[in-house]
Amino acid sequence: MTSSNKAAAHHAPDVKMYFIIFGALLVLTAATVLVSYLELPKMLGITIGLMIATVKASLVAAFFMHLKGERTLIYGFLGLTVFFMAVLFLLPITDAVETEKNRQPMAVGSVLPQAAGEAHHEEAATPAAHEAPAETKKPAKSKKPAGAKKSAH
Amino acid sequence: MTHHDSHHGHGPDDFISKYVFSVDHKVIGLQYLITSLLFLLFGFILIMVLRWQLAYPDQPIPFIGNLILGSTGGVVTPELYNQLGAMHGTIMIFLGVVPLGVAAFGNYVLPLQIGAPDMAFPRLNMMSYWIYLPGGLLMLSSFIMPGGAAQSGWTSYPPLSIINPGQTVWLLAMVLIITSSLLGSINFLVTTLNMRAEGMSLMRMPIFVWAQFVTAVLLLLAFPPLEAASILQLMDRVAGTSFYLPAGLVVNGEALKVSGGGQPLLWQHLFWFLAHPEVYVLILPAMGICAEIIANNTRKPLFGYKELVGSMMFIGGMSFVVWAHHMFLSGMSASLGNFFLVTTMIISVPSVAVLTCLVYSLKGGSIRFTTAMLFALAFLPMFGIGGLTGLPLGITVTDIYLHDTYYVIGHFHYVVVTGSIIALMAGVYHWFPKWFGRKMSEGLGKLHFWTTIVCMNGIFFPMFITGLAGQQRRLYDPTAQLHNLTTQPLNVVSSVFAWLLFLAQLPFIWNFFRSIWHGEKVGDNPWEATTLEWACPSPPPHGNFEKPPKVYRGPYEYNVGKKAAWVPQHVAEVKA
Amino acid sequence: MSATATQALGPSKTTTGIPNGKLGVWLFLTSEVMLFATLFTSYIVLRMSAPSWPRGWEELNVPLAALNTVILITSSVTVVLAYAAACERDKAKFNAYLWITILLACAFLVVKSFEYGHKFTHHHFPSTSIFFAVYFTTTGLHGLHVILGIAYFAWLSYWAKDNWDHELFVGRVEYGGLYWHFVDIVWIFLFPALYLL
Repeated sequence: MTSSNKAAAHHAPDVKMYFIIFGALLVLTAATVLVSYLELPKMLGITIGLMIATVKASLVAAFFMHLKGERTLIYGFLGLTVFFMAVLFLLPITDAVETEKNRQPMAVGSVLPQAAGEAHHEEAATPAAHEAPAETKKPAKSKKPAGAKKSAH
Repeated sequence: MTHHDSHHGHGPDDFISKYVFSVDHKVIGLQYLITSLLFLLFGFILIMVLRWQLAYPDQPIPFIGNLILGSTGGVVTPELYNQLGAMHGTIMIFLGVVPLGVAAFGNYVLPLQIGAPDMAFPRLNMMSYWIYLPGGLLMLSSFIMPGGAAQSGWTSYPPLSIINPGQTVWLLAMVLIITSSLLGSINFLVTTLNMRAEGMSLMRMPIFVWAQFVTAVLLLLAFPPLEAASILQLMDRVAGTSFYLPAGLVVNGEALKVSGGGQPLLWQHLFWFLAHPEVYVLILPAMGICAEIIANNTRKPLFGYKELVGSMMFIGGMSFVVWAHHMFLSGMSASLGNFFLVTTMIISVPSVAVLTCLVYSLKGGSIRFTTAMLFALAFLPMFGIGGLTGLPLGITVTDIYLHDTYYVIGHFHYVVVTGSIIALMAGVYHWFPKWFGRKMSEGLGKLHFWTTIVCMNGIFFPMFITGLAGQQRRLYDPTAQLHNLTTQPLNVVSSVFAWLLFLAQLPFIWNFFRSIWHGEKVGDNPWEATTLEWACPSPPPHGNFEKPPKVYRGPYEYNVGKKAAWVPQHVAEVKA
Repeated sequence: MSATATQALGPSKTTTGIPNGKLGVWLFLTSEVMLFATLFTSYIVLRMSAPSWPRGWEELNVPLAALNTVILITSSVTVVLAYAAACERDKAKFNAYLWITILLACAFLVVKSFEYGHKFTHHHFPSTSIFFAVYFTTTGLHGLHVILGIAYFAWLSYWAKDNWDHELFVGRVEYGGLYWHFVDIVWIFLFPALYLL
């Protein structure tokens, strides 16, 4: 019996606070859905959405998971995890961004055997919506023969 | 209620609970020991077959060729070659060295060294083993499945790994193996933090425990990304998704009917995010084992205890930010390459620090050349070679030439084989008396040591030469590349030493099993060691210690001051 | 020491003072963070490298998912109220809140199955496009975690019958709650990431 009393004493659950946080979470959920209906531009939408989600997650973590007032060791492991998580996010994304910047359009037509003969007359196969690589400084939709894409840089 | 505080708790009675589904960390440790050694043997056999093909391309294997490869007349086909290569790597790393270094040694020795009666979660511990074994058997079973075993390298790069046979079973087995590892790492961390005997502060823990602790952190945080990445690859193979498959892929002249939009490089990032910390998982327990054996057999404290702890923690942290040095040639930008170059150079510093501390620990020591000590001593220069040869690989410009050559194979085998495996063998000789209450034969041990160390160097040193000469990895027939013809004799040398290395293990296998029943009997502490695992009977009973030990000093009080020649951690008063 | 004896170490008996189970669950959650972080990283990399990517609401049912978000958040509240009831030794309240939690979790899965069913009827499968591959895999893995949570709570309610006074009882309620809150947090990020962007 004693250790369960100790557990009770350790966290002394504050039921009133739980309901307050519940209310906050519902409000924030409504907010994030409403913001999405504004159909904001992507970057702004992502930032706001992430911010609201982070606040919600922090409330759950701090109050429902009793992180507020938890031992330093737990914070230590969580901090370490957040750091490695950030690394896991940042570096592959950086690579993807850099690779996109350096991407050369491919001549898809030349890859399939039956189309080999038409390869030289196919235009660059980049989808229209894709932005042109930064170096070429040409409008995205311009037609260029595949052979001329051997850019020197 | 079944729980109580007595350390002589009522152990299980029946055979199944005692030896099969045991929750005792010592039994589980031995289960891992035998299983991982068997997997190591299997992985070794695979490479011996592969090395025949490398030495004598397209020639049938003599004597046993028709027995093992009847359908091809004893010749290793390209498909089999790829399977042998992929499975050798996978088995050695995930089923061999890690379970041996972490689960076998860690499970048995760690609770004893901190004065604990068992692990924090004994039933979870039992589950870890019983998930590892089916995972391992599933992995092996892929050889007899249609299409054969995985054959896209242990690195399983897509798109090849998506279209090649054998990969699905590999992925499923990896999910099991990773789960086992995660459960184990949680157990190790909670045990180390929470179950230390009174007086066992963190800075009084043996270096072996610190090494296992950092290793467990790496396993905990680095393995899940590979688990997720494997699930994505499984989805690609089984559910027709295209996480790793770009649009426009053509296989055997036909366009691949997938939605496309995937990124092969995504797999590489996620795989190496695990696989780089994984190599530190391979080496840290080895360093820990050598630290224990060196301290014990120099009869003096280790040099730089705090520096060793700090270096291992620094290695652990840095290991998460160096992974793309395995991807220097994947087309990434120079700036990203530079980032990883810098972090890779930085991580070499604490590795050297650890080596330096261990080497300096010999200075002024009164060295006892037991078999364990011979192996531990050999670790030092061998790891030095392994580490040094990593530097040109970690530097982008030189890696352009060396990537995917035999130089890489030479480098990592020096670290893992002449490094980790040598240290693990040292650990077997060192802790065998604790496990079985008997010593292994020193004569056979020394024979084992000298033949092994010579053969290992004979296999891997030539690889630096063939690699620099331009021989590429994973080539079914090295002579197909004309520039390899000059160095082909070195491939024969490596192969011959590999087969001799196998023969060199026979005295060890004989010694190991014979000594379990007929070895020289020993008491609690045959090595006159100071750490807590030697403060209980050999082997320890259920619950380990008669009463919980109290710790009064650090782990390596050998010949400190003018007191007794050596003072165990748990002894209160010092007798002059 | 028997297996349960080593797990019976209460706060006063572990070197750090944190119960074994609590430390173990938090460490488990850190590994789960890395698991889901990998899925988010993959989503971001794939989306950034794609020539085009639909806005979430163009392909997915936002109202249903918003409902599911509310369901999951509510279940998070009820599970922590169950914990509070366990601390206060109120058996009736504990059972009530625990079962509401389980029912809400099942409701989440029911709504999810409607979503999935609707997609399948319209021939949207994981293999259809990279968008749906990401959608099905991330929500599927999350759903698997929900199922495991339900299993744990069902077991807990069964075990609680005879073990209300067990030394580890309150702890096990707390640890299940920690896991469940983590599952909730993942959805808190997943919902806007997939549906609202």
